[in-house]
Amino acid sequence: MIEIENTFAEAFPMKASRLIITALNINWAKKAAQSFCGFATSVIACGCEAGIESELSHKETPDGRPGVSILIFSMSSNELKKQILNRTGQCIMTSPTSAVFSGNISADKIPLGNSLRYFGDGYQISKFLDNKRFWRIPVMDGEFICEDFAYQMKGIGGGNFLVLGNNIESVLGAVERAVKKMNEVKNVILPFPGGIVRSGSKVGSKYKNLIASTNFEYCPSLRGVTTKSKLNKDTNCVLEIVIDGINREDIELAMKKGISEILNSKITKGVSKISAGNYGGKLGPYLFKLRDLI
Amino acid sequence: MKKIILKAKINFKSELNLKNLSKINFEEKIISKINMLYDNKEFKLQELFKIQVKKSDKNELIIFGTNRNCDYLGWKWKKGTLIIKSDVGSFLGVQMSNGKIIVEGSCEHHVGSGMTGGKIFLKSNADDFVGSPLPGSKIGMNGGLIVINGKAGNFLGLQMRRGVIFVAKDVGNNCCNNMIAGTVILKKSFGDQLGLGMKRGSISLFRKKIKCDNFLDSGESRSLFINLLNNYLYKVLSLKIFSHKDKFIRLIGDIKMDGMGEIFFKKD
Repeated sequence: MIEIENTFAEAFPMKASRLIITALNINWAKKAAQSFCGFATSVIACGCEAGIESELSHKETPDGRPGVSILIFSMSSNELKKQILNRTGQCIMTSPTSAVFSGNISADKIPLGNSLRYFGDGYQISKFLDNKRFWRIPVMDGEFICEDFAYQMKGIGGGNFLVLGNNIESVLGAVERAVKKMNEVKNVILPFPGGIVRSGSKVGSKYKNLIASTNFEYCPSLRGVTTKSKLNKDTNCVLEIVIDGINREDIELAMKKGISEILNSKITKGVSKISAGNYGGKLGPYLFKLRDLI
Repeated sequence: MKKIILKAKINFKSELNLKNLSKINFEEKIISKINMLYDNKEFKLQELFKIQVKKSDKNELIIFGTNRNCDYLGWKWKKGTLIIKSDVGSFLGVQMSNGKIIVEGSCEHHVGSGMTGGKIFLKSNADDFVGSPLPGSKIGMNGGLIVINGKAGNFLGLQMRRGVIFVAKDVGNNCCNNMIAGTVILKKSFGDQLGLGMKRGSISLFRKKIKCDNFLDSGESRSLFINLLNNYLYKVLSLKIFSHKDKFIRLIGDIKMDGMGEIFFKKD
């Protein structure tokens, strides 16, 4: 029997944007997207959190080629602009056959082709279709097509839950199944490698310049060393799933799907408890009570 | 939302200036106050047309009984749909900024001159100066879409700056002259001096071989822009004009103007 702890996950507002990356085939669209989303696990040191939201068929993309939709989250508008521009320029424009388009629309513009066009050194061509401007930048495999602007929207970061268990094999297996199910939900991403994080953090540190440090309450090796450990003697492993999303409902849905997958799985031996990370309700306005989700 | 139907009471034998018809505000009852110039005399709208107003799920103005003497229809048109069930005269949709105009007959000159947005659909032919500047102006079509299912005359897209023009049948001489930007798609033949003085912009042709002395052959092109254009036209016209498998040759010019305009035509 897996226990659901009577606690809540605490999430906070972020700035977000959606991009659509297309390429000659889904393989190259994914490679460009994975490159863009590389080193984008946490705003603590990456500047943004990003991940692949979904794969798109040729009928769902502006240029009729297969593609992927990605979501990018950051703490400030300026950082979001900087990250999107740099990553598009270095990761998408460099990827063979790629093109990039905005996947949402709002009043807050983020320069995309509007800045990248200068790479064309005067040979770039602007095209205005259906009230959108596209830039055609000559590159060595033909042309890189890039929409003039991406757009900023509101997002929520830091939805999470923790899976506690006796051994890494059981906990990792359970969390992997949860991630697979959660990846079916639109409007959310799981920014960490494979959707899973093992180095959960708390705010602050004993060292002055460090803004985050290890979440010692859930480190099995510190059981006994610290009096605040939340792990009993049978819990030797904790893994966390962090969820960023466009709205509260979809984060809730993803958490519900993930937790339900673990609870309903026949292979749950070794998993003992599901908990969540929070800061006592002081950090963010979004609280996701675990027991209310199930 | 309203559907306004106008039926001509007379056969217009002199010029009828329908510029004021664009003052129709679908929200307010000002229809009967609109004045028209017919044969240089002022008339109330109801003196020339039988007016019917119905409730509808969208704003529509439908006109019956116009002919080639009826000029300036859709002047500065900015919202709703204007449907013309017969031929019209010159200056259709001039400087329109939004909305849609559908003509079931033919048009005379200057269709969409100086338009900045919206869509014009002609089920038949148009004469000269489609998407060109108004007389005395230097700015041609500056946005929007013109679809001509018939033929078009000379000077189509003259000094065009932005927008898309699609012609399903033949086009006259001097097409896309001094074009600054924008996109023109020609499905059938075209006259002399295509793209003369072109600075930028794109012309897509269905023909397989052309000879343009003012343009340089830059070889086979796999521009994604053609895909974007294809998807846009499919969205608007439900018509796939190119296949994703089509290969194109790209010409660059007008070289005598140091232009970077482009002409795409299908590779054999």
